[in-house]
Amino acid sequence: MDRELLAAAQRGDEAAFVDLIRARSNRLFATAQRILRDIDRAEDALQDALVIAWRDLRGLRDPDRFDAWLTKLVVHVCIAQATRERRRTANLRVLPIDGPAAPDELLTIADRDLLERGFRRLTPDQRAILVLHHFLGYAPSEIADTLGIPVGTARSRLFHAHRAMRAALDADARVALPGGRSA
Amino acid sequence: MTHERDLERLLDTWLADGPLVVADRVIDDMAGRIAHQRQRPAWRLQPWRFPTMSTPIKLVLVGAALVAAVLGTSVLIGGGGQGLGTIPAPSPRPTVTPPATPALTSSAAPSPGPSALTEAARGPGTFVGAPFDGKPLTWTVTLPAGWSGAASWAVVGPPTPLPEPVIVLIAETWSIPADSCDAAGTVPATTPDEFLSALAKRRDWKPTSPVATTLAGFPAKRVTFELPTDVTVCGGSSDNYIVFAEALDGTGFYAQGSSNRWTVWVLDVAGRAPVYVARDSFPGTPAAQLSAADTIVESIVITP
Repeated sequence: MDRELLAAAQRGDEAAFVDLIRARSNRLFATAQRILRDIDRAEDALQDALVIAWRDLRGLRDPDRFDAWLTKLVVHVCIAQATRERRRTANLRVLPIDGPAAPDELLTIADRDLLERGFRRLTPDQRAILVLHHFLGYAPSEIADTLGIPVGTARSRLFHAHRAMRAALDADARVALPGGRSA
Repeated sequence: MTHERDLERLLDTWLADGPLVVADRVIDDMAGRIAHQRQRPAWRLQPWRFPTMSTPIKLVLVGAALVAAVLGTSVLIGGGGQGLGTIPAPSPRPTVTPPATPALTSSAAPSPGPSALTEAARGPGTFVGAPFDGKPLTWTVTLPAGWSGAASWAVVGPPTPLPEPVIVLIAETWSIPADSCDAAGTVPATTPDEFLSALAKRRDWKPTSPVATTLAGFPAKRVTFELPTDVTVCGGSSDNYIVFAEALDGTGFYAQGSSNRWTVWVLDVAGRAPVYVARDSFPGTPAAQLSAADTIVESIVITP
């Protein structure tokens, strides 16, 4: 069914494209929101990525790659948007956390706050890699495919993203505790 | 905290939190936006090739395409066409009311009036397109045999063994990004000089000095440049290497392949931002096809 919709969309059928997207929009939005940490900007990024997808849809040669291709577009738009935002807000304090502060038995509010602030200190590329790996469950080979980088580079970047996150958390924890002690 | 718990498990749990459902209005708004967004033709990513044909068949087809291009060129030039830059009527025509049937620069037009320039357009013939959404500007172009329309804003040459066939296109709101891998934020040029200044900074493309000329009756500056041999440096695909930035979000017209050569005419169409006519090629593009492309450029009529 999706193949028929995709073929129709590639012939210019807007309704078919919208049907294809509705079935995937929640996952794409959730991915964008986790990279950008902001609902409004995630909505904007998702829309921009989907308009690009519509524009370039005829160039998609392999229908089986549609989902991966869409994810790639969303991630790239998010990275671009986060990069611009990072330049503008480099010297500003981090924004308030978006989304419902759902209670989580495993994470305390303090943990969530530390994670949020630590994550926002990462580069957009590092954020995207962590979301692809921890939220979408991508293996390094899939991350490499999505970001257009070699698998070895994906593994290396994932390692460095983890290390950066750990460093950001430790730095925040030291600031949070009196006397400069590490948490 | 990271010493007491496993960081990966924390990230799994934390990232699983948060909104999971997108508002309907987001998709509704997207649907409204794509109604005004043209789809790019597949040829930008799917060049014609001959993957399943034997070499003799390839040679025959390539030969036929070249003959067709040469014949088409002869037909167009037969009417006494002049070289680029020597087209008469140098004064711009911003206030002239468009004629019901746009004038042709070639006397060898095979049909009485131009047909719509779409992906279905096939040369020989004269075609008219409205390349810019929501704007009255039209361009008329005469194609020899073997050439076809790719969109209302582009025509494409016959198949070749090259990575891509030759393209002739018209565009607006272009600029040259300082970084082809990250074109976000590149502001469209508002004057020809702004565009040329941005291009001059791309020393890696070795742009030529601008040459004053005219095209379609408008003053223009012509410049040529060549992209690097490796345009896959932006994430492993030439699709990410932006040549002409079109929008602030970093999207634009990307490299058609390695060593992609571009000749751009930057037109000063009075009363509006620059209009660009561009022709691409590759180092091995047959001379006959380049000549045909230049003749097509020469045939262009722009009605603001």
